[in-house]
Amino acid sequence: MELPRLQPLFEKYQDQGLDVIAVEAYRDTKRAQKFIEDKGLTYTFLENGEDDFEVVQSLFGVRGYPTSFLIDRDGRVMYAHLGFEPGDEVTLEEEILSLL
Amino acid sequence: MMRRTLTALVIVAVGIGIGCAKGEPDDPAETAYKAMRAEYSATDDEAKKAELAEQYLAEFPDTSHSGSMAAVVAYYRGERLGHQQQVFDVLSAALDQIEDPEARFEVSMAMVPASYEIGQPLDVAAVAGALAAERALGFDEHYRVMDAAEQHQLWSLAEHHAEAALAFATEEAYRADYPDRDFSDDQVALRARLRKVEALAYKGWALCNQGRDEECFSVFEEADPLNHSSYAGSSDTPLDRFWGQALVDRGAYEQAMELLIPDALLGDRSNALPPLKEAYVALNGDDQGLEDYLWSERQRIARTVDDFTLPDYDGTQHSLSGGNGNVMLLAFWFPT
Repeated sequence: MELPRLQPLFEKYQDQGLDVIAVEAYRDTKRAQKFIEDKGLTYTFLENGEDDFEVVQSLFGVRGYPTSFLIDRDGRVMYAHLGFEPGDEVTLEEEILSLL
Repeated sequence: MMRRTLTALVIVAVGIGIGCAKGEPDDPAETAYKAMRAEYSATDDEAKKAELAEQYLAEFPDTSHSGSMAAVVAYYRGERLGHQQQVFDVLSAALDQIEDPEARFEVSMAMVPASYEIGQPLDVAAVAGALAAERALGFDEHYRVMDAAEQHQLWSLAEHHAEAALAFATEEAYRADYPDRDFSDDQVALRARLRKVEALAYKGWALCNQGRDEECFSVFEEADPLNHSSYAGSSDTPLDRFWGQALVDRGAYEQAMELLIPDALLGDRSNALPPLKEAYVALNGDDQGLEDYLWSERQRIARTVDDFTLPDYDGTQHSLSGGNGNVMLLAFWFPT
């Protein structure tokens, strides 16, 4: 799926101060862990609360997956993106570079 | 163009994710679907994904998966790989084998973009009419039709289906569409409200494009107080984008830019940025200062992220406030 496309960005920019955090929305723990391991993903993975609306829906108003937010060093939401198409990582990289 | 992509992707996700729940367990079509789905998920190769869906459609054209398979073909074979003639041929062949009116509708709608690309446009009104002859259309179907009509500038068709979609923009209608889901009252209220704004946005845009300016802007104004913003601050509906474009077309550039900025920076960028640029150039003569302008607008409208604390798979708690001044890419996902 889409998450593996974030791995090269993470590897390239983590030394310049990029954190990548992925929140799994439905606590599908086994499948999530298998996916993370199979794809060799090394950034931070968090699990959403027991109730899947706890953080995702109520706080961030997520209406589709994957949804990504880019947050600058001052904690401001500078970019939001619904879905992940091939090629989106180019835009994402430009956005990251503009914030680093 | 890009909006169509997103619609297709959402359908693909739904089809692949939920479609497997349907059908009998020992149904050969279902067994084949599961095997195909496993292969589909395992590959990143777009041509392979298209091929898998094409093979499945060729073998099992008339199942509950026909629509999502057709969407996969239209997206990967058509939009990504540019083989629109092939999309048209593959889906036409499937259509010849399909009797179920709903599957016919889904596959036909998936074919519409390819049919326009190759200069043999399908009659969208007739596609909708064929299903309507069997049973009344619901919100999602009216939405599909009004969106396709908008893409291909069939304004009176778009207006008609937007008007029809409005009838479903109620809490009762939303609940009736998802009888098995346990939505809270707040969720239902929000979804019903979003339906109304979406339908009004398309209706207004269709009216504007038929030169009925007075009506169109009053429809946009009716929708405005009901509109809802995403977490980042962009519009959750096409309202601001349609309204902004309508204002650009009428030379009201400053007002248009104000409406388009949040979507162009934080939301549906591919659709909102072009009219914003058009307005900027009209006001400034060229796009020389555009990047600086966008950057300063971004600083102006960006909100501060809310904090939360969640565990990783080792049980260690992480919070956003512990981000120690780094740039953060926060993604919400689930394994497919």
